[in-house]
Amino acid sequence: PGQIVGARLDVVVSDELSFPEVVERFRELGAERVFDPARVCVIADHENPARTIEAADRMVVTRAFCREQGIEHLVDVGQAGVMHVTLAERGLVAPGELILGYDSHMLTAGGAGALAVGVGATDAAVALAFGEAWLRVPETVRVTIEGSPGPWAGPKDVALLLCRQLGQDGCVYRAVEIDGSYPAGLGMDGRFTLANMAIEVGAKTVAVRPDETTAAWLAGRVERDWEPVWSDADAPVAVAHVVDVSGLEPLVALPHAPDLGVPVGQAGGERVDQVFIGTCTNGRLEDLRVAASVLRGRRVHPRTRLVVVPASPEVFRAALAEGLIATFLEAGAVVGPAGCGPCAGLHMGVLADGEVGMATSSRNFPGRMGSRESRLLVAGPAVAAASAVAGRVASPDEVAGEEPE
Amino acid sequence: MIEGAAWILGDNVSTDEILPGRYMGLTDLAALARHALEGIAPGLPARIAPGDVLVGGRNFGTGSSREQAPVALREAGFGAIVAVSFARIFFRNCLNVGLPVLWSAAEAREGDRLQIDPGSGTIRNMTRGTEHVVAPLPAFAQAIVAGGGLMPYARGRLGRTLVPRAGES
Ligand code: SF4
Repeated sequence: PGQIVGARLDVVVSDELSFPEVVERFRELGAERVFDPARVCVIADHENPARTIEAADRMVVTRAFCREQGIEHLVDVGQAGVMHVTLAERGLVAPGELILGYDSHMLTAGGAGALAVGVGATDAAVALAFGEAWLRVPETVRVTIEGSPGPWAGPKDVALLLCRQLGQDGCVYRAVEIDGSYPAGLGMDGRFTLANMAIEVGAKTVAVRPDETTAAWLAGRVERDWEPVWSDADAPVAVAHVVDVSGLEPLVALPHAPDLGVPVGQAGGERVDQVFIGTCTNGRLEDLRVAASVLRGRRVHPRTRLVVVPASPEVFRAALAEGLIATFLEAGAVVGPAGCGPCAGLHMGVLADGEVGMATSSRNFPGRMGSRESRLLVAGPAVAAASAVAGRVASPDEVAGEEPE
Repeated sequence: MIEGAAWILGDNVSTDEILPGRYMGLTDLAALARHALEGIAPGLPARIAPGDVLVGGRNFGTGSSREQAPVALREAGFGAIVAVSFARIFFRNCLNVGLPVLWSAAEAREGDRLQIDPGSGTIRNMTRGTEHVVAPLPAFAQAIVAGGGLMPYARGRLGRTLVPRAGES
């Protein structure tokens, strides 16, 4: 740890909002060709279908560059979902691989045991040219999660608990290893949620221990060989945390930080103007199932708006086939096209001055989803759906009574 | 050596506050400078003199990876940032855009005259007559920031590996 190395990269990724900036840096650098066009991926998730003329212009730049460089993984409108979801679905993530991306939630790929590191535009441009990045070898923090959370509490609630216990800067510059009976019992969707939230404690990268669940999910997506890389039992760690989540209640993170989680019952029952279910944190199929199980046969409260955005077209299609989309529409929700939706405060449901929003996203910094004078609460899909029905912060028990299958 | 007045911000200042997401598409540097810190201290850029020092608390620059955040601060005139601790991507982006950053809990009040030497890790508070020396950056990172950022460094490495390999002369 502490050493600076030049690391070869398996994949370099960017979203479309930032990519023109990367292209500009790439030109400034004087590079001519990307290191390997098959290992570059650009995903139109943040502001497409184009939200403004400027956004449309940005896509023109992006498309031209990808054509010029022969980049086949330009994932455009229709195929694009939130980059971290789409990247994994396309088989560009496997255990032991090193991924660099221009986005802070890059480390979501750790849910499948890959090491993914978020960087900025200059790093991304240099990575495109060299297929390499300078990285400082991080210390390791081991987090072992044991036990079964209580009714309605899922991976997001466990992640919010970790944020509260470790703090926003609890793992800055460190690599987090997630292990234990709890993650081992989760499906891939839940593991991606856990990995995704590691950035909210400042982690450089994160990995959930790969196992048969990982292998089953990768089969049919990843054809190349991969190895279930994991650290030795006696490898040195900077800190080891053991967290017992037995009986955990669903949490709600209060404004304005993800480490301000409190049990939903103690969140004050505040009025909620808009609920947003989606994102790279909680917009996958298992999340939509949980939300639909609360909403089925119920209506969104008349003073509240519910925005549902499936994380990817694959998730959208599966949700449609299972009848989840019908449930959302019947409840009075609007269902948006796959992508980031309003998560970064760009479009499709931003908040006004004085409004209170609840989102299943990962962070609620001031102004994150719109006006700086808005308040944003962060929760899992069960609490979000229940709050949409109640029109205020509510626990799923209050509106649904019984657990989903 | 960087010298200027201290501007104080608190803990966990996020990139959403340093440069709100709606300005991310901007490529005009002067416009980025005008919107710097708009989410936390609107109007501040107009009062900054070149070389002023931003002093943050814990976990400075948390949140999104937007490189426009440190670029906006650099263009607004800040000569360096000193904070108790930094969020990783923001810290790295500062180095990559050539904005010196130091981890230090050195005390300063708004308006104190600070003198910063990133090479030796020295922070001198001229108003209070104190001096703090903190761990300087790793040599590789220092070389990058001293040369004006990763861009000029990488330009000089085109056609080779980015980081020199062992044994390379
Ligand atoms: S869903 Fe939100 S957090 Fe995830 S990549 Fe999109 S904007 Fe970022």
